[in-house]
Amino acid sequence: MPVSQQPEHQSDPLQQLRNILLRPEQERITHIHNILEEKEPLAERVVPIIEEQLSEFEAHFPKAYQLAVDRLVERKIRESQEEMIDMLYPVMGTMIRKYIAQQLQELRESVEQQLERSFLARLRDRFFRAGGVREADLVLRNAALPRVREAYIIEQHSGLLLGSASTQEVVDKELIAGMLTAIKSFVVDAFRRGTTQLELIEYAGYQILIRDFHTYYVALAVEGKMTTKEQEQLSDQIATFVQNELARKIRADDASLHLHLGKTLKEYFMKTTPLSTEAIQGQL
Amino acid sequence: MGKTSLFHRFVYNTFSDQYLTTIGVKVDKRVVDVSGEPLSLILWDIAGEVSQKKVPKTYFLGASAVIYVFDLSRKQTADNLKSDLKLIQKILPGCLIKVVGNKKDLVSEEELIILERTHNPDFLTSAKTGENVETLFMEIASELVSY
Repeated sequence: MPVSQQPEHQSDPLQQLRNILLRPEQERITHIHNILEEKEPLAERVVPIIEEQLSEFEAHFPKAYQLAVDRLVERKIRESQEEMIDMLYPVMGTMIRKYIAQQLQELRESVEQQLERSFLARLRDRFFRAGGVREADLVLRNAALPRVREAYIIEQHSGLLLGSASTQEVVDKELIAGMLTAIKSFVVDAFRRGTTQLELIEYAGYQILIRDFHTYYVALAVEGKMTTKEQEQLSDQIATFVQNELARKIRADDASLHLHLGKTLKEYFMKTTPLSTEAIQGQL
Repeated sequence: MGKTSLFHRFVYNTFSDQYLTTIGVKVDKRVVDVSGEPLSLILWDIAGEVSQKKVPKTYFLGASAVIYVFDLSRKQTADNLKSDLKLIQKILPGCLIKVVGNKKDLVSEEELIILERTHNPDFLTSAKTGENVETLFMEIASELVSY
C-alpha cells in the first residue's frame, strides 16, 4: 500500500506510539465495557456491594433517621388527629367495656356459685323442673327478645344524619337525628356531668341506646326491654360495626356513605336479635 | 323577636312547639332546590336569646349558618347585637351569619331607614306577610352550597 493511502493513525508515528503504550489500558477498557454491558458479570460485582450497603443502612437507620421519622410521624398524627381518634375510639371503648364486663361476670359467677350451694338454690331448681316452668318461661322470653327497629349514625353537634336503617315507617329521619342531638345536648348541658354522655332513653316499650364516638354517635331504637348484658352485647356490636364500616373520614354530604351505611346497619343490627336463646338459658 | 313565626313561615312544622318550652329547641326541616339540586335545610329554632345563660351553648355547635333575629318594632331587642354576634363568632368561627330585622310590617318607612342605618341588617322581614322570608332562607341555602 502506498504511503499516501495508509490510514492516518498508521502513518502517524505519534499515534503508533500511543497504540503501543496504551494497549493494556485499551484492553482493560474493553473488558470493563463488556462487564457493564453483560447483565450477569455486572450483577456478580454489584450485588455484593448493594447488599453490604443495605445491611449497613439497616444497621444505622434508626440512629441516623430516627429523629426525622419521629418528627414525620408526630406531624402526621397532629394533622390527622380527628381520624386517629375516630379509629382508636371504638377499639379502646371495646377494650374497657370488655374488661369491666369480665370483672362483673367473675363477680356474678362467684355469687352464683355460693347461691348454688345453698338450700334455696336447690329448691328453686327442683320447683322449675317439676312444674315445667323453665320451657314455658324460655318460650315467653324468646318471644319478647329485644329487637333493633331503627338505627342511626348522626354527626355530633350538628345532628346531621350520616346513615340510617329502619324496619318500620318513621317520621323524617333527618328530623329525628336533629331532635335526638338536641335532647342529648340538653341533657349534657342541664346536668353538667363532665364528659359523660346520654346513653339510654326509655319510652313506652322502646329503649334508645346511644353510643358516642368522637365526631359522630350511633343510636339504636330497640323494641323490648334490654338487660344490662344485652346492652353490653349491643354495644360490642356497635363497636365492631364502627371498626369495620366507619374507619374512614366521613362527611355528612357523602351520598354513597348514606347508602352504604343504610345497607350495613340493616345487616349488622336488624337481621338477628341481640341475645340468643342459649344466652337466656344461661341466665335462668 | 318573632323567630318562631319566621320559622313557621318556612318549614313543615313536623313537631310541636312545646319542645321550645321544654328543652328550649325545636328542629325542623325543608328541602329546597339550589341550582337544580335538592338541599335539606335542618333548622334549629332556639328559644331565648344568645346571651342568656339558660340557652345551652351546645345548641349552637355544629351549625353551618346562624340567623340572628331582632324585632324592628322593639329597638331594645337589638341592644346586644354586637356582643351577641361576637359571641356567635367565638363559638362558631367562620360560620355564615345573617342579621334579620323582623316585623317590618309594624314600622314606618322613616323608622326603617333609621334602623337600617343603625343596625345594618342583612334582611328586613315580616313573618306576618311573609315578605323576604323565602328569600332569606334561599340566599342562605345558595351561600352554603358555594361555601
